[in-house]
Amino acid sequence: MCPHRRSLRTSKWCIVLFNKHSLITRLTLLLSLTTLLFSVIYAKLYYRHVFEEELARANGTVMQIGKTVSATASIAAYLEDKDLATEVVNGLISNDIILSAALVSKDTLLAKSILHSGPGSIQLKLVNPFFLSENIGMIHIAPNTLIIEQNARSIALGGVKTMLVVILPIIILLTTLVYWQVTRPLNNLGKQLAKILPGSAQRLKVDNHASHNEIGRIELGINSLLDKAEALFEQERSLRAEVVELEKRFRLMFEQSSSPTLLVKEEGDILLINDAAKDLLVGMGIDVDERFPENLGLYCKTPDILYTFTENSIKQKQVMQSEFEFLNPLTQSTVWLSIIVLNTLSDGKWYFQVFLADITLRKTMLNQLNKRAQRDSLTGLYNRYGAELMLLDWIDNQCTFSLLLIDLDKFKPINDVYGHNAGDALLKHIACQLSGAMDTTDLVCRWGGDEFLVARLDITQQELTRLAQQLLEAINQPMPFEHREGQTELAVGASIGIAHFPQHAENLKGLVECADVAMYSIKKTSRNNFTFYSE
Amino acid sequence: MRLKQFFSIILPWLLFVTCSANTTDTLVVIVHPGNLNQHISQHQLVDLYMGKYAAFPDGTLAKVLDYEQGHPLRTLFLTSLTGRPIGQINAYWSQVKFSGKASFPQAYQSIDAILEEVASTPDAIGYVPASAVTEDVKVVYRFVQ
Repeated sequence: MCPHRRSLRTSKWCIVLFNKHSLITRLTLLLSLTTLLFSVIYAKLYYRHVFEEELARANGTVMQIGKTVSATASIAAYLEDKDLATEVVNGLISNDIILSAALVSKDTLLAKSILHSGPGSIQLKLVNPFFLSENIGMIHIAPNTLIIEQNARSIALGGVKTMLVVILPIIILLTTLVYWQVTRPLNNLGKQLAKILPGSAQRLKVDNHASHNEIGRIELGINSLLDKAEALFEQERSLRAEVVELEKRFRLMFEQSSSPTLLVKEEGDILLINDAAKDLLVGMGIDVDERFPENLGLYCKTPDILYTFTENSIKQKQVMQSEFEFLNPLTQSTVWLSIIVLNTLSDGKWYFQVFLADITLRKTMLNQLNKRAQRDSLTGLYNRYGAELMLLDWIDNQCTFSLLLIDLDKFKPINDVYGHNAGDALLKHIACQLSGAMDTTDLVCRWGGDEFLVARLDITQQELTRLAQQLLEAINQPMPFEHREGQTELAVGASIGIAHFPQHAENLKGLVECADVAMYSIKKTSRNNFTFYSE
Repeated sequence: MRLKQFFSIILPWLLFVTCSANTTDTLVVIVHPGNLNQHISQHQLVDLYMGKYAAFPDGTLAKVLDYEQGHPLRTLFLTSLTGRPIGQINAYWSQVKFSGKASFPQAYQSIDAILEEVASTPDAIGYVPASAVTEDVKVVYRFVQ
């Protein structure tokens, strides 16, 4: 092992030991503190015990010493011999364990050491050397408690030292063992774990010899957990890939769809909007950040119907389809939108998908087609179909109106002499004249061939008479015509039959028949005149 | 020659006296007939002979007379008086001697010398076998046999 590595290992040791949160440090600290505490308690108890024992022993010794000197002391007390007493006292205090002593005869103090104070001393009775029943004095001996305490303390300390000598190596041994058996494998496990990415194929290295202990079992457990995690991750990953793929497809479908589509929350917030919808709405001047359907309602020509439509859709949870007309504020043109609202429930919440379609073109085409079907291609007036639609409408609405059926006189010869072009030109001319004579609210139509039909709402008999005359004048107005041989003027007359609704007939067919009857009565008689139908 | 004669006369007598005293006679404590103390207790005798006091119970100074060390009468007297073996009493005296506080009895050689001294000295006190008591002395204590 190179010195660098060794120092690295030492520093690791240090890190482990000096990290106050590490188990080993805590264990060591706890053990040390406990040992210290027990040592202190033990020292206290042991000291007290030893002190008492020492004190008892000292007292015993003192008594023995006292007894040893009691013969001489008795003599000293008997003779009241102060010199002998002093000798006895000096002899006593020459012992370490005796602090002070005094010798007292019956009533006088014979000798006393300097330190003697009285209390706390052991007292020994002195008897007359010749009459044992006679008390003649007392020896007071005070044991040297300081020395006894010192002795007790040193004995107790010695005991603690002995204990520590035994315990400290055990602590060190235990700490080392715990480090090698627990902390190091745990640290190792932690380091390995930190390197492992969940879901990867990485696993903990489990020592064979350690596989049966607790840490080994934890490692095995973690490895099996990692196995499961990897399997789950794998499953999750493939699922996610599928979801991503699906989402991509759906997104593509949604985003790239030429069909403008919105996903809207029940409250109206727009969650998703595809490019087609964005283009359409922005092109219509509609703010896509606003709520649905209020954003559309702003420019809708029938906003109330739109709101009712969406409300009903939400209420009934049904697929609803309708068409609405909008005004594009940017171009001031009309825009028709087809709106389909589809309710879907997802995760307990209701959403609605809104499919928009710009149907303006179709709508215009239909209108045009419709218009073309009702118009006469030559004159531009309503054709018979168009006129019938309008008249039926009037009849349905119970309007009062008068119908004038106009049949041109002598038109066929013009067609025969000057050709179809001349006939067509004349028909156009008549149509123009009639249109000029009538109001815009009136009906003017080419009923078929050289027959025209006009109708006016709410007209009096007088007005009608004047109108019929005006019409005759307008029809009689000649039309300049150029042909191969030169310029000429073409002029026709007209027979006009008039019928009133609802006066003459209840339905259109009957009414037209009435007008036809009146018109033929003119045709057969005067021509270029008008008459009213009469029953 | 004179010494030899003396010993040949004295020693058998002494032996006789001692033996007769040991076996037959009790010891008595004697004082001068003029002494005012009629009786002295055992305790007072111990105090006098062990050197505690040098005075009679009435307060008059006492001259304590004893035999020399090793005299059979002394041994008998002291052991009888104190109830201790003579060795202890000798040890007592050897301890006391150093301090000089106690008063030592004066030592005499014979009963006659004691008798003579007690008879002639008013404050003397001594002890003799009961059989040797004369009219010139007064008995103040008698050992019970």
